[in-house]
Amino acid sequence: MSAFRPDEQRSYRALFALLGVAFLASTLWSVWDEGWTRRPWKVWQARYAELRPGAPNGEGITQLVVPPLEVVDRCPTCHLGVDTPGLEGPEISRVLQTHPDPAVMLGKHPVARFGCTPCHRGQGLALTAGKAHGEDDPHWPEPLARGPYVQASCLGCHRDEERLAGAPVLETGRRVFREMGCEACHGVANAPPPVKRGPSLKHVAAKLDPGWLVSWIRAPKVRRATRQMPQFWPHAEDRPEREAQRDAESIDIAAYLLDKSAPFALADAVTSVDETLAEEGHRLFDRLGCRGCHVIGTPGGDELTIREERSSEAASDENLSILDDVLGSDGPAADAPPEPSEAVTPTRPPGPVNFGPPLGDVGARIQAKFFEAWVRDPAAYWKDATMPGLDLTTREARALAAYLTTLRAAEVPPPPDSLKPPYDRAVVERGRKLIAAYGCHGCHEIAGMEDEGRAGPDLSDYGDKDPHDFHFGAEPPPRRERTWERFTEAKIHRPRAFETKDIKLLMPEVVLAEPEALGLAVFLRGLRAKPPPEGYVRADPAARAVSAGERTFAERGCWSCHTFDKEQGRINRYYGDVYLGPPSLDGAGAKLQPQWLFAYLLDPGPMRPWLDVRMPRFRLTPDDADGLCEMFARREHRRVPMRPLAMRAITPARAKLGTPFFEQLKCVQCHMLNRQQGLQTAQLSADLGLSRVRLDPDWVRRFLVDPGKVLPGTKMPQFFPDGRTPNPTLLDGNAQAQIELLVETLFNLGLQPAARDDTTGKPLLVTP
Amino acid sequence: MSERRGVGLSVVLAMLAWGSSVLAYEGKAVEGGGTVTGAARFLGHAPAPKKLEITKDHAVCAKVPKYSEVLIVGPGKGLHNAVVFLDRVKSGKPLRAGRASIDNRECRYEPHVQAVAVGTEMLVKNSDAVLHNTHAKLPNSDVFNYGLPEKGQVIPKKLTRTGLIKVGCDAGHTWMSAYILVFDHPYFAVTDTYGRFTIGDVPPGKYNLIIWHEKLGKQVKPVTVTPGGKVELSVEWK
Repeated sequence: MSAFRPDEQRSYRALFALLGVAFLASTLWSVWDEGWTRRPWKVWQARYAELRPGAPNGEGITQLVVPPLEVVDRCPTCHLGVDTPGLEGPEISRVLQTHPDPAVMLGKHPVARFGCTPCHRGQGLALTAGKAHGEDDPHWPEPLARGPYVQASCLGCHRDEERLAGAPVLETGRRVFREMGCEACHGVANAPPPVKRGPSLKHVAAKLDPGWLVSWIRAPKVRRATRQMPQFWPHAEDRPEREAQRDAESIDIAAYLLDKSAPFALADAVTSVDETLAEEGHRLFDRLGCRGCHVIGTPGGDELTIREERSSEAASDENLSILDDVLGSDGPAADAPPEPSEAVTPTRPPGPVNFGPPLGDVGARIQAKFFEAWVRDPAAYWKDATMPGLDLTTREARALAAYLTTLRAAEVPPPPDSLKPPYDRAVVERGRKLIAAYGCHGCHEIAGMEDEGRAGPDLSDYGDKDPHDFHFGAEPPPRRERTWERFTEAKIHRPRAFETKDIKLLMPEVVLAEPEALGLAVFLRGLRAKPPPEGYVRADPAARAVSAGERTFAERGCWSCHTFDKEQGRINRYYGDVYLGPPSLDGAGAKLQPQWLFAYLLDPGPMRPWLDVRMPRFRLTPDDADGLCEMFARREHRRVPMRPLAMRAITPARAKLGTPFFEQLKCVQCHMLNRQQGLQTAQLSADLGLSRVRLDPDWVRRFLVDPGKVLPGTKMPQFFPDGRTPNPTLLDGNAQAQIELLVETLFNLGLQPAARDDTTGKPLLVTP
Repeated sequence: MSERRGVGLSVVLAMLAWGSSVLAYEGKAVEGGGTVTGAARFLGHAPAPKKLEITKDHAVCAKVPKYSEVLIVGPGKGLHNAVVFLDRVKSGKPLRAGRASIDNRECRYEPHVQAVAVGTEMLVKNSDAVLHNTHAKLPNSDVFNYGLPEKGQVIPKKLTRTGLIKVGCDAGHTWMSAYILVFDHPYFAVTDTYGRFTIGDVPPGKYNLIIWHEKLGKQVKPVTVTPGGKVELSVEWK
């Protein structure tokens, strides 16, 4: 008995037939849709099979599942050649090419453990290029990271490890972010504590000319390579109302700073400049090493060559090179030191390198009575001063101060009439609000602003931002073009570009070169909220220490004076004779004992008292010094943590041979020995009495064999060329054995083993 | 395969032979060679050589007073220690690299200026009972830097690169200096105290004669050498 009436039965049958046909049609359509021509990955698999006949080509969809990263990636369905060596070159489609730099990129990041999208982004599950790369999917938040943006992903795991070999753009950005003081206004989770990038303004009234202060706030100039005061009213001259705002606000800010400025003890007012003293100061300025960080900037003022004062009239340099074209030039030094094993990005920022401010106008912008106190002890004025101490005598400090007051290359405008004490309360209060809003206290120590927070938004997850949440200003581009990259790059170039009538923006503008701006955008893209799972973060304490060491090296401007990483120290160009300048630090990790270096960094005494140039006192913390020592050591592949080097006491029998040999070689004709110089020449060399605590015996062995190879440009001559020796009878004339004897003798020159006082960090150098 | 390799090898060898014939000096018998001779003179006012201040090792170095050798004008205003040579001669009389020496004697170099052929074995000597280091530099690289602590010590060094080598002592004897010019052909001479020089066996042709002096710089004189001829010229500085 049917439950339906016959007419109902008929209509259901018809419906069933209809549905059946529809089902069949849709099945056929889907089979057709998923057919040969509609599956692009089949095409790539076929092309791969042609390139690599017989190689497994995946046969269908290949899926990488990486549960810890929550990744399901089907990229290898098409990108079949990624880990196949040999598929390079333009004749092979990019889809099938081997991954660039496979040793680092895949060797250290195996596909099975990392997948693809954690670095490259895009939509891992999709199987057509447009969808997989995310650019054809309006609902996919993050398309494929193109070009240098892929480097942003490195930051996730390599947070604490800087100078990554494969990510130069990211590293540029990381450096710029720190140097330009972005952290002053924008917090970033897990970042090293920011340092104030600008000088303290706590006692600003004792230091700056008020007219100059206002003009500088209005329109600061780019004067240094690694720091920049940004423009708070950028392009104000384009709009009159903005110009008026700038002029008024800069006076309000200056009024607050001057009003709150605390008194500072200064020398007596300088009434007249003693010309002889200024001349003496000029000579000190040239010779102490001030020029490592500062330029004077007057035309011709920075031409200087420091030479040894020779008693003969030597031929001029031109006469030594005028025959290069006929006799052939010898080009750069033949015995270059060996390449470091891993490629590293340069420490030194590109472009002009003024680490400290140029001083051509310093006498005009800074009050004369300020200089002496400042050069004598910068930390007294500002405890975190970048400027190091120079251990100057009173006479030297006065002479330098006298010279600095004579540097008046610029006109300083008089202060505006409204900026006169006593300052109007309302003006001062307006200044306070402006300082808080613009975030001046992020870079400067300012009285009364100690409890103010950061002025800008936190950027810890800026890389995660959905571009559709960005405000593209009054005339936004079409939706498809509103990308994260476009917004960020524009914002970096012109922070106020998206300002509208209703939305006021406060971010100031810094001047960046194109690669720096791009680097910064890439770095920002790498800032993500979600930390990588355990086991993925590189938590190598040694790498962290090296990064810290490199950061210290850059932040303290060590490269201004010292040649390092084969980059000539900036100051070295002033020294016609290289050994009159600061020593090169290439190879320092192999040459010096870590304990000695540590102690020296904390308390740098005059290592080479015959030189004018002076290692300044940087007020490093023990952690800073540790980082530097570890960085130097690891660059030379020294064992870390380091241990003290021991040299056994020489036996009386060996000493009987060694002492006369040491005397025969006349080492002390040039070297100091136990602080005795005994020689009346300006050309001396390091104290051999320090060998035991200071030098690595292995380094000394290599140095004795061929000094010029170990330390290019050294004055130390070769005593044992090609295994020859000046003493053919001692130890059967065996040069190797004689060198060993010499090292033993050197390391036993009457000194006790190295030690350092743990509480003061001072080196316990034993005097004879 | 091996045949093809053989062909490749001979091509490479032929190219090398051709290349070296173009680039390197070729020594052969010179027929009808001419002579370039003359004198260099300094016509200006030559101040008496300055007495050098000895700042170190007086016992050895200050035994006899020392005078600057930077500009020595001899009889007849002859310019001593100028190096005279033909520019980039590609072939001519055989190049003989023998031995030469530079001696640290009484804290000066003997000789002060010399010119040698590439391949010469330079004997670096110390005749003083003090430590001398003999640091020889091309403009951009070290040639050698030997420490000679012993009187009578000799270290030989083969000079393998052409160029102008400046020699100095870093062991505190700041006044010591010498020059060694290394040539890849044999057509060079150093002027004597009268300023005279002679360069013989020059294949006939046109040349540039270059005269270099450590203090005065250089001069270039075009010369034409005829078969068996003698070119006499005077080079003057004011």
